[in-house]
Amino acid sequence: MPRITGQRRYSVDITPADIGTGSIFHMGLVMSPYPSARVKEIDLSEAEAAGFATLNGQELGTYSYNNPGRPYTPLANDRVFFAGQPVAAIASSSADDIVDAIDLVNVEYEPLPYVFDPEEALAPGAPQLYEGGNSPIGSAPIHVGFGDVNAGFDQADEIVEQRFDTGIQNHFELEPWAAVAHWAGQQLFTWEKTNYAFGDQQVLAGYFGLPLADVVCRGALGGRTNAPAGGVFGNSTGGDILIITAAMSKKIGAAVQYVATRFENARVTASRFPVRGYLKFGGTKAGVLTAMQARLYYNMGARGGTRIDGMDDFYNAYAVPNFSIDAYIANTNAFGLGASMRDVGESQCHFLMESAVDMLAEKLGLSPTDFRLNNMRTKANAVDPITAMPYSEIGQPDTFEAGMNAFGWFTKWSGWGVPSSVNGTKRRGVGLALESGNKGAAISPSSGQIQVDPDGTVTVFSGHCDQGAGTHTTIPIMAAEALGLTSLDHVKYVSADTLDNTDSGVTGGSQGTQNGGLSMIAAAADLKNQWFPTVAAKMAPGTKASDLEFGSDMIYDRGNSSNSISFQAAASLLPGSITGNGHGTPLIRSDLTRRGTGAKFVEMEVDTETADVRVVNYVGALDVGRVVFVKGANSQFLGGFIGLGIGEALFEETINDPGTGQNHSGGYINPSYLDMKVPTIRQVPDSATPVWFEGVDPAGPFGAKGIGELCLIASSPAISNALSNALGGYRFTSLPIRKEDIVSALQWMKANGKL
Amino acid sequence: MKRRARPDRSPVAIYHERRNRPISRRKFIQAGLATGIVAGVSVLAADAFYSQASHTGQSAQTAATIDSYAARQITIKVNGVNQSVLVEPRTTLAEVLRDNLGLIGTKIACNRMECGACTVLVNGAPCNSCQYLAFWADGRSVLTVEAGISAAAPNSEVSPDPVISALQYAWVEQDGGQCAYCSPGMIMAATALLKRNPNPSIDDIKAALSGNLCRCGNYPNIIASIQLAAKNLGGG
Repeated sequence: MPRITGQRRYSVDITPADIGTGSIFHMGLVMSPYPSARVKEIDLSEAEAAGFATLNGQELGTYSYNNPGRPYTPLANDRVFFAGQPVAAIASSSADDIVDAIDLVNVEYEPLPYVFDPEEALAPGAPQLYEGGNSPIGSAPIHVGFGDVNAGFDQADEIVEQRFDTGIQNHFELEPWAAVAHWAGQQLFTWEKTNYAFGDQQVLAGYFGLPLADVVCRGALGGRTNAPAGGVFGNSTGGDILIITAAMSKKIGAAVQYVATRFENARVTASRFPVRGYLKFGGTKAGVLTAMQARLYYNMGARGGTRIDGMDDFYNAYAVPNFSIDAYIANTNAFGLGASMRDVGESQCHFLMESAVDMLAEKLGLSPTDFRLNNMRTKANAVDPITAMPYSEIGQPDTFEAGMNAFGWFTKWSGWGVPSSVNGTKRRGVGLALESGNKGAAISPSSGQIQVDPDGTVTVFSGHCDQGAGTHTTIPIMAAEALGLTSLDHVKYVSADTLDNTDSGVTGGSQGTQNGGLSMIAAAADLKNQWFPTVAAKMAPGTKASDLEFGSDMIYDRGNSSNSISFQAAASLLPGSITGNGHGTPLIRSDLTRRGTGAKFVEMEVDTETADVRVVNYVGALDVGRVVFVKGANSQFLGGFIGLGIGEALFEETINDPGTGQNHSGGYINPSYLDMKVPTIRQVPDSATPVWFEGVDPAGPFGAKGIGELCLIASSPAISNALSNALGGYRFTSLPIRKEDIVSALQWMKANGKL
Repeated sequence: MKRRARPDRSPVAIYHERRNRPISRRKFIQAGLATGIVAGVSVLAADAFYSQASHTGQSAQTAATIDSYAARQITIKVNGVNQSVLVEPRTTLAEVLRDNLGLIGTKIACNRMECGACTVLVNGAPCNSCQYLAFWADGRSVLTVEAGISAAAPNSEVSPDPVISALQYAWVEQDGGQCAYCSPGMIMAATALLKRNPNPSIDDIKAALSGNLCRCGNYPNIIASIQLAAKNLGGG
């Protein structure tokens, strides 16, 4: 409620009064308009003469955040590698002056040749971003494989070969990235928009050479404020810009605030990296997938590149016997940092995979459902073929079938290239996409605490941030569950604060429920050890602490359930507050494959006169293990598809000027909502229905797996396959599917007598 | 924040341009404030956004030039209470609400009138406060999201607006906000809708909120929240 009455402060709302720092100075960034250039001179004299504070790269040390082995300064010293890269910073006592101050900084650039395309970047003669070549891993690809793909193709009756491309995307979250930094002596305090306050703390402590104990980072105001972030979607925030803000604050001896403008926001944060794939899949007329082979090119922008996902989706979604992927990682000048956007490469790989699978199924004469049911990985073969680790749980084919039936697939599917209905100029088609995401295995620490006061109040401590996925409800729910509480009325929550909390891992990667939940279970166990001896002593004579359990708002004796005491009464026995400390990490089953599986089913409508398209109906079936927070889960379901999936499929792309590589926003052609179309309320489908499958994963807290990213993954191929069905089987091979592409499809249909 | 110089001019050209500009805005304001408030600025008062009515007649009108950057005292009735603030011509209504009056419920997301997060009601009509100049609000009535449930606070001078409040309760019921950064703007746009159309269809709702973006993709819950509020208010 406080968010919608205007009482809750996001990072952009922070004022000096909120953090007790006296005045705040406002920082602006001077950014390179060129995607590749040598910086010949940075002249700050005029800005300084006008009374502004300045900061340049010479004053900053180097580090390798997100760019291992290639140290750089957060403000560019001699080379810039992407349009929008910061080369200098200014600060003013007034936010109104920032633009003027930036104008006064004179930077002389020598523009250099640049490369945006990953294959071009890896070819000989390409403009070099770095010594040693345009790849963080060298020229050899990452190879993943098993079996013998050549034999697999020999066995195949049909083979499909196709290139697919996804586009550059940006998060365009509504709250711009913002941070305040302030030094008190040698201690650094920051309040920022983040999904990992502890990650920020580690970066800052490492960069400035401080002990962790002297760096306090908070998501917005942190602590007891239920600190919100206005949408993150996996944006790898912090890093360079947070360091610059802190360095400016140190230099001028006052608190400094930076709020990204809309034009800057996409450049100071990360982008979803495009993936190009040359795919070759083979199968038999009997409907068996015999081989999957792919050459992938990951375009990671100027930095980043060792964290890529998605390759394991191919052989986990499908029980393919022969598999080979060669993945090349390229650095280009197309954008700054390739990183996560509500998954890290899985959306991209699912578009590639599920488009090619549909092509193969059609060529073999199998329906989309039959092909998936024949070949998807299920309980019958639930082992990851590369790691050899068994699945903790897998909800297939149950989840797929539930979705299929809820969607009414068989009442709509009329055959390859045959629309499901035609009504004047409106043609409808249906499509589906299988999904399998590596979600559930914790990738970062898990810890949390539960405190009980003598008056029965419970305070839950978790380092997680809340950017809208609802961890500030989900985690207290799991704590309450562990304690047997039937309501959250007396439960408080402290979060996103390195001073009040311990590292609970990044709120991303679909980790929130996992990490948060496991640590709550561990904290409850620790609470029992501390508390129950006191409680046992006050219950029936001879009661043993080890026999006691939490029940519904009470503590009872396992051996005699009438021997019980209310939670409230048990709390009043405490001489003071006690805190159960939970380390979830030991509870993590890293010997098991933890994946979320499901499928998405979509009905699309095309207007053959106007080339308008819209989503009519959507059913998403997902095995999440256990739905912990029903309302939150439903919202995540809607948001993943409508907020991001439709955009990824139909509208969104970051466009770099191919001619000059630069434009007035310092980077790319469409950095604003006007020109980079995110879904609006008009894109809401007629129906969007979740089908939750609760497979009850024994390795997850209360059976739960991760959820966030799975609500997005596989949206784009489901939409693309449905459009293909509506448009006579025309295959879309790149994202986004623009109006021009629909027009091309319609023209192709006319030329081939299909319209 | 205002936009920066167009970088299709080289930094060297910008440098020379600046040198030829007579005085910086910052220095002018400082000079103006040092000598007291400079009066006599001609301001175009706009009814909504686009009409060009004559000025309010509140100040003695001289034909002052448009690059007179003098600050002026204006009075805006915000959530039922008259607020007098000193602002200079380029201050936006959003900035007045957030920075001068501490009402941070109105959010700035794009600052370019593209996303609707800053939506407030001016004389009952929804407007994007990030591009609505504060001077235009002089003598007008502004309603923000703080006029809802939080106006029920003990020290409040006015009672809560029933439509905003109904929307806020419905928002919680139907999970109308995920990160909730768009929610204040959505709620104000929905308030304007329900005040003129207490029984909106889904298409009415979509039309009225087509200028409000939600990146979390929570639109179906937003629609459900508005429908619930309409029902609870007796319409729907």
